[in-house]
Amino acid sequence: MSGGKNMNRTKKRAVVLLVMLSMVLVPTMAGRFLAPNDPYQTNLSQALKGPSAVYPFGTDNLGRCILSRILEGAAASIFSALAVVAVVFTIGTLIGLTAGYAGGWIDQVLMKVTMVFQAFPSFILAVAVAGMLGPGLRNAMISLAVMYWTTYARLARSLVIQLKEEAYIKAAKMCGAKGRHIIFRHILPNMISPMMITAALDISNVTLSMAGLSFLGLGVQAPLAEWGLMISDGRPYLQTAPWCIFFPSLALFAVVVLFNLTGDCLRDAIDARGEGRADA
Amino acid sequence: MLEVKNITVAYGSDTVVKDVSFAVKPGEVIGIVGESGSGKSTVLKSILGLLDSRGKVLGGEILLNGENLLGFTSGRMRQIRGKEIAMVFQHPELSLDPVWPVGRSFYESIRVHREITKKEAAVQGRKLLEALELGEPDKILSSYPFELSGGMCQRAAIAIAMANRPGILLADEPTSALDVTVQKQVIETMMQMRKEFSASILIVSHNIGVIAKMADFVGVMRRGQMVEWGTKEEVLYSPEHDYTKALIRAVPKMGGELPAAAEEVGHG
Repeated sequence: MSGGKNMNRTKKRAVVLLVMLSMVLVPTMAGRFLAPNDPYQTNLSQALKGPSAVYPFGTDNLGRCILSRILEGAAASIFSALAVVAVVFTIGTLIGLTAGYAGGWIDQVLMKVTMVFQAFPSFILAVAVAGMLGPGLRNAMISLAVMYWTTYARLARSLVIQLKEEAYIKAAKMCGAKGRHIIFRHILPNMISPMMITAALDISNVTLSMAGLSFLGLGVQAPLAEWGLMISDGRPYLQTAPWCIFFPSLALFAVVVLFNLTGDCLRDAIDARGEGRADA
Repeated sequence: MLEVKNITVAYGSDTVVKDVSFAVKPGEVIGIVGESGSGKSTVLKSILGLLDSRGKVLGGEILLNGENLLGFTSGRMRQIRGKEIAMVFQHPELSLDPVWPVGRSFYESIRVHREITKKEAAVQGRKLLEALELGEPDKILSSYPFELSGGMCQRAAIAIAMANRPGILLADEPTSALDVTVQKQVIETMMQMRKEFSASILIVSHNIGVIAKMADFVGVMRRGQMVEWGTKEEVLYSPEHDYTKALIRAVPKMGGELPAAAEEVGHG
């Protein structure tokens, strides 16, 4: 009974979070149309003005509307993170699946390569790759992918190795199933939920790393709008015009927290199902 | 139709099956009894060519309709598995994929061997479950393994194993994980299968009661060797080998006087 109650609470939480997430995501997706001002229109006479009716979040050092720039920058901050997670999820899963299922020397080679990537502190590796490739949104995404894929490869591998020993996989083999059939119809569907949880929790990490790269000047370049870059640009005015740094940080904070809570919620939902299965 | 001739199997340097031979003829039920670790399951795995990675058949022949399965390529072996020789396992709810309803498992196990539409598979599944009198076939087909009881799961697994109409059904301790009342139903389902499709059954168990109910011929295995072989009557009612006698004595009897029985075991 208590399991059912927990499940209901999880469901309620999921609904609340999804509503909040859509409240953040929908406006940012439609950012361009909702922006009260042109995010790239500079107006030095209006520079560093506090929040007002015309500029709800104030203006930056070049007199650009901060709210408009936050909305405009959401695409770079959030959707690039989603794209990076999708890419590392796919690549990492494929590599882990190959290593785990094939075993032997293929596994050895792939896992040694993964270890080499993991040997570096991850953000330093991303900074190094981004520095090597040169600044820009696309290169920042590549460097984040280089930083994040190893988690998925290792997780996928361990899940495959665990699943390979399950009775139903052996049963499928004894039933004459081919390797391909076993991988795509048995193993992949059974490993997808833990992988999804990791991916959901990683969205916020990648968003933060992306902002971090931009903050360091390795990601999105001025004058394009991006939250990390806006925070970086606002630093000199922290004492005189704190809104320059406050609102982009708030946006970043809200999105990261929301994605994180949603990931947690997803994990609870899937874990609860797992418990139910063990009980039955 | 299936003949195991003098096979010897080893895991690494441990020989776990020594020079075991027996034959399974059409429509017969063969039971192999023996304690855990006597090599009975290893024999079944060798027949399907799916020993664990360190296991190896060192000698002998496994003939299916006169052809030696040990010489088959892995591709050809795959066509045998499930199609000619199917298998059911000790833990039914673990041997069915947890993310598939029973109907999907049924469909997939047919599809491994031939093209079939989902609809057609569902029709066949329903027919098979009806023939086995398993109650509400549609409900079973749409249930996930964890929604079914262990006994129902095992009977569904038997139906799935028979989906491709194999000539031989291997059963590895099919009742050992179930409680006694359910064991009976599972045994009945298997016997019904044999009648319905005239399949042979090779059942391996440490439970003499199950073997006594089902088998026509019985083999007794101990430490990798077949110590006794014969018809059920010969082996179970007039055993020759001491080990068989001890094994039969160890079966608890209904209504037997417990202290006396305990004394007998103590002396024997």
